[in-house]
Amino acid sequence: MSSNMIMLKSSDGASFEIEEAAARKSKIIANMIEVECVDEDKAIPLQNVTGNILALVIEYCNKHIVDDDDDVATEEASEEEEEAKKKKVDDWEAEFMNSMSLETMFELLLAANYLNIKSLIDLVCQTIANNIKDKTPEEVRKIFSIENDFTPEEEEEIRKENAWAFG
Amino acid sequence: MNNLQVSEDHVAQIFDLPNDLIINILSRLPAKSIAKCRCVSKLWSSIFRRPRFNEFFPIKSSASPRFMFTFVVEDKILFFLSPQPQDPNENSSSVASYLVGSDHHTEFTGNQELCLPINGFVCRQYQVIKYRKVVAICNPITGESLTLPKMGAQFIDARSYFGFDPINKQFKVLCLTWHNMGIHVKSEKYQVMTLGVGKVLWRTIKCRKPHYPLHDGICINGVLYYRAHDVEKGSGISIIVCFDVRSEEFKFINLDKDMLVGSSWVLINYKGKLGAVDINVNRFMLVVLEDARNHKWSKHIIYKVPDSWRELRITTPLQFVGATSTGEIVLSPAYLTDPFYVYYYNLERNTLIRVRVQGLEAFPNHRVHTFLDYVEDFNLM
Repeated sequence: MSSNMIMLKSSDGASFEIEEAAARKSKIIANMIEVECVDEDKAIPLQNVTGNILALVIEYCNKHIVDDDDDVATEEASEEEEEAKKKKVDDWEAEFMNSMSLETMFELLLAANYLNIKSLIDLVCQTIANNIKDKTPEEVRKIFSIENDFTPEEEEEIRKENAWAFG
Repeated sequence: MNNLQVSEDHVAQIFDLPNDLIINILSRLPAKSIAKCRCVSKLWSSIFRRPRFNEFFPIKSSASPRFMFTFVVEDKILFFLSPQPQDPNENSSSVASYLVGSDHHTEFTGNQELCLPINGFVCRQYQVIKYRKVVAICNPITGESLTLPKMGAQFIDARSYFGFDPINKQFKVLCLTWHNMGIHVKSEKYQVMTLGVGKVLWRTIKCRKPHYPLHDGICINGVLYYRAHDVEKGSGISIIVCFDVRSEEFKFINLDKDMLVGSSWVLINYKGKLGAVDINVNRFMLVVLEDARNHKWSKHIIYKVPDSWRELRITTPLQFVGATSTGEIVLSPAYLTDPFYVYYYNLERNTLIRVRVQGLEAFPNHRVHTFLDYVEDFNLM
């Protein structure tokens, strides 16, 4: 396993040490490493990510880099083992997402988007989708802070069109 | 789910999510939630109205294919969906859930023909009293139904086929009407309607080879195929009609000589090609259209189907439903039974495997139509 460590610095000045392999989960950081604009002694500044969110991102990347290594080591794993492993990751992800507030989820989503970590974007989007699945339009507006810009007539019309979903 | 309190309002405002993230989230919702989310704001309703929303964001939570079962109970047509096992074995089972029931025309006689669903939409033709046939398109997911304008009243018989042009993303209905006098077919007429563009109107189109349709059709990659009688050659000669949904041109393919016998051939989509299946005594046959221009078919014949199938042919006749993406032939009884099974026939292994579908026990002996690979579509018509 590569033991190359790099430093990341959050917008509020916190520094984190992370294995290069884990940091490469972020396409942005991987690119920076490719074009060698990473100075070994200096931390990479991440202007848009606060320390508490960056800690979550790093936790996610560390977890998934370990799993990826496992995959290589046990290429001949049986189907059951594969399934068990997948379940383990799923359980971990469920636990990971379950521990955070909605506010944190949105922040994490923006950070994952900024750092371009596709699997994390998908995980957070899916979790938010699961959460709003059974909400009314009013509740969804609140969650996303969306102003209701329909006129009463328009709203009545669109409600009518979609009345089947409210039964 | 407890972590999400609605009282945490204002949350997203501070962060101002980019549209592509909002779309990523919304595209994972089931159809019902999407319908509710359309009512959130003008922006959100416009996201879902993009005509190709499904195509761009096919990540939906229920992307796995499903069986659709539909049957008529009293004056309603009911739709049920159930997960479709991908690699079934004898222990596989599936539970059907009720989707929607839609009211019928008041003069409905009980006879109906269904075209294979396309992108979630179902086209039905049903007879109302005095020989009149009505064509309706419905979306079982939203419960919407659109009855098409009447065709000319002077025609005694009519048959409709439902097609989709994947290039212009247009749905079209092809309707053949004819006057049937004994073995003589007269004054046949070919009409087309394009859905979703302005006024819905029947347009009469030309066809150089008069024919009248015999069986269900199937639309594969923008071409509608159906079996028909060639009027000029006499009523005994049947052909395959290919209707290009985009150009609205007819082409004709001769049948394989083995297809001339036996009338129970069912057209299927076999790995993206036109296929036809038939069972005659113990012999199962699949023909696949390899080259339309040269009328070339490939043939797969199994001379002795499994005993279990032969026994079923006496007690519970099966109808062909279609083929899975891996080429297994799917069958289901024509009438609901308790317990109810869907069958997978594997040609290579010559095995018939049954998968139990629960949830339909309340409607024994109803005529059922089973469809494969049904996908949800929440677009409005």
